[in-house]
Amino acid sequence: MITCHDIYDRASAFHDDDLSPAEREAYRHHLQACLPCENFYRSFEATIERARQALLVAPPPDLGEELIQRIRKRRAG
Amino acid sequence: MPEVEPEITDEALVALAQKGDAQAFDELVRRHSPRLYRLAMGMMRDHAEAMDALQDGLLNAWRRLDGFRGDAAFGSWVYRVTSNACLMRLRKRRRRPEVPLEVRAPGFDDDGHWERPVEDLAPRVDELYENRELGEVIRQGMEQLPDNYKAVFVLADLELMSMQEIADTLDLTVPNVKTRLHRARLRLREHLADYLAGHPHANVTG
Repeated sequence: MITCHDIYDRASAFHDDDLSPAEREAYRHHLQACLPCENFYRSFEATIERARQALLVAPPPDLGEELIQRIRKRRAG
Repeated sequence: MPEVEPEITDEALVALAQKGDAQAFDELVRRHSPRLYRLAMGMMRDHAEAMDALQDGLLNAWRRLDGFRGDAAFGSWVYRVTSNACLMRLRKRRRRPEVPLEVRAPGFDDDGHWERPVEDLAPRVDELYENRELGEVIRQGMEQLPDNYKAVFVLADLELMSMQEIADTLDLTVPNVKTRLHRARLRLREHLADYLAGHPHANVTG
């Protein structure tokens, strides 16, 4: 029988698809039946997904050339 | 200055660079810098520091190129060298030894049930994201993570690398990567919960 504590401890394993099919099914079943765990897991997943979207930055257009210039200076020095 | 032809493979460029052809190495820098920049920005927090770490990493790669034997792809190797350069800079900045991350565990009763109500933060996290505040809040949370936990989080959840790739890049075991990743995610969720508790909805109060 899977407990709320297990839901907390295994949230990454569930998110990363790292549970056996039976464990995965038990995890999913618990989430459907338990509101606090559903709330916890939604928050956990939102943190991961939104962090990725918020932190990904586009590289500056002249990135490669700037790095090449910096490295040339240091190689010459 | 002659341009290096775009069709040439990384392997061929590496072979040229190993013979001292700096332009071949420049082309490798052009090809791989966008991905390396994302890594460095995730680890270092701001552009200037990310550029310094990238410079260190790429210079190290140039100097150690003789030792690169092509067992892995050049992209993986240079990624590893750059992530080490980021970790070195973080260590210098921090000047204190890394301790395992303690996550303030929520209370569970003897039957394993939550002792207190659990709020669904997802709508408010979405709100922070829409208001473009989330990036800064997450970065503040990441500053509190030990360097290796931060690195694992960046590689797993920003770069979407496999557990094995992360273990290889950071010289950790796969179970170690999984433990660190879980703790880092829990800590960031906690940081968001604390931030949101201290910042009630602006549209409610005013």
